[in-house]
Amino acid sequence: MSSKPLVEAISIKKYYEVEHPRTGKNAFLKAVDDVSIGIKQTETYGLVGESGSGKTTLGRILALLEKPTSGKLIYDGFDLSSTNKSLDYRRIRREIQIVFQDPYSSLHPRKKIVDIVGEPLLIHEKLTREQIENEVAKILEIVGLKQEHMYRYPHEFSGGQRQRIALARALILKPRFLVLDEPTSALDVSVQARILNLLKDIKDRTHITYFFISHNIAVIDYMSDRIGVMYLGKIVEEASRDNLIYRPLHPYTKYLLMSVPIPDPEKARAPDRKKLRLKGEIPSPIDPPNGCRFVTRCPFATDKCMREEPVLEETNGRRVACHYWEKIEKEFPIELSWREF
Amino acid sequence: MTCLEDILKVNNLTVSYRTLRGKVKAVENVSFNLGKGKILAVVGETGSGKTTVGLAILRILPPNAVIEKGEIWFNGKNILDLDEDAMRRIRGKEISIIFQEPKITLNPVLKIGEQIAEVPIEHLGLDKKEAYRLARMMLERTGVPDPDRVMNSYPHELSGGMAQRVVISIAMILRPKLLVADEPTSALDVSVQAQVLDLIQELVRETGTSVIFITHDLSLAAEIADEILVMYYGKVVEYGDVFEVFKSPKHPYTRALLNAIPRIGFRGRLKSLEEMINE
Repeated sequence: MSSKPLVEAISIKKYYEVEHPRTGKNAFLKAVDDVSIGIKQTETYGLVGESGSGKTTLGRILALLEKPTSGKLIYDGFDLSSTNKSLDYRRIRREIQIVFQDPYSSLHPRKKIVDIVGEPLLIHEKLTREQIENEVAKILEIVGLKQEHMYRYPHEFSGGQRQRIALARALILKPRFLVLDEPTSALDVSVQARILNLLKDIKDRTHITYFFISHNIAVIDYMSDRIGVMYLGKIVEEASRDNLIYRPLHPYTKYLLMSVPIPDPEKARAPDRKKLRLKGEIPSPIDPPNGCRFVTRCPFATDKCMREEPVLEETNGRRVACHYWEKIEKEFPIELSWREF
Repeated sequence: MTCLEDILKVNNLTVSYRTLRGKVKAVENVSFNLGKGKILAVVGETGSGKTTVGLAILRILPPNAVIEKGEIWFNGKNILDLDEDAMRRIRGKEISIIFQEPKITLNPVLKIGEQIAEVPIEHLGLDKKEAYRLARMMLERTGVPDPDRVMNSYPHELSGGMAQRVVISIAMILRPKLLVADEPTSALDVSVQAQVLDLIQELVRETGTSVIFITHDLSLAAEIADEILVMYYGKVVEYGDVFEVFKSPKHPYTRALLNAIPRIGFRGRLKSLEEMINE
């Protein structure tokens, strides 16, 4: 794995102008607020967060579907804020693709599969109809569908099959960077397992780089090499998969891990587990709290946390944004026994 | 698993839906018993028929549904024999239901206080003042932080977690004997899901209400259920004590489901249904 990032986001902000729901005045919804991350070549970077954390917005920015309010996006050494509309931008545009969560709304209902999956080829390459059909046949096979499926319509397929079609469309231009935004959240578990394994197999064969977004930390753990945890528009922690799962530093990550239901009644009902509950809900990104974003729910919060926003500081090859992570680490070591298998 | 304290007894329930392509069986020969104060998890994937079972118990199936056969014994009566008037007296008082989307369940143009107070007014004939007092108490009990403000709010002003607490308040205010909870936490974030699961367990302990907890997620069954019933294409494939079923699942489908769940810290490869069959 090369250490040079394929995708680098520097101080990305995305603010939406909205009407404040209570006062009716103009306000800013800070969906992504000063996020800097680097995604390495051929890695899977997993981004986990609750609803309203800004994870989807960040994914759309990295997929070039949305322009950031401010900040820099560097792809493979090219600054995308300055190379706009040049030849490079056109080349880069086809190297970055996205798969969305809902396979029922992401496929055109009145187009045949061959036209949905083949459309990127029509736009980016001058191929004959026959060539396009050949390419579509090949990619359908890779995602586990049959060649003859290409003459059917989306409604003839199940949710899992539709997600394979969406994946085929994203892969047909052989992208180097693929944003996967909750690609299995609308699917049943048995179907989810197949799609996750398919994504892993494709990565092993093609050395593609994934940016995998999910609210489900177990899915993120299964898929990722490195994991970022997002809360109210900020990355609060980032570490390698094992470090993040086995030795989380940020209190939000710790409590998030504790909240995940365990498919084992003995472990699920361990007597001390219920004490470790996160209180309250994620605040609105229109009125984020002052200081640390997590201050309203954090059991360790002090006056300092209400005044001063912690920076995402680097420590031992990982990053964490908490004033007291060292202290908490000493006084609140996370009990891992329930997570061993 | 029959005992004297059984609150509900379902025998050979079979339900079909009339569709343009003919009749489709959604639920076939489903039988189970539910003891007082017990939580039964009904687990299945899309199309397994788990929701149909819940709707049949409240007799709120869609018009194209046909109950082909079976009995649902509740309080010494077969629910399927009751007329609509009798059912209306049972719903919300003896048996309540909560759904996945709290904001769809709630009436968007009525204040929360009115929606909760309506239940004791309708079923017990309480006066408005007394009913509102009860409603406010219930909100406090379900952990709503600022009950006075919430009483005067409309559903769109509440977060998803708050709205689900309101729905639970409505369902539990008359301490029903049976609560049908259909994916009550599936629209919530995990941290809020954990809070709501705790709340349901606490309320059940206090009131002795029995719960049918319908979910696609086996982990939730592991978290809160006493017994578990796994459905696959309308049929019961596994039914038993939750500890037993998780320790030694008898049906290959249950085993497949357990192998397909991503678990934190798991470092192997998930197995899908097909991969298990191929082995």
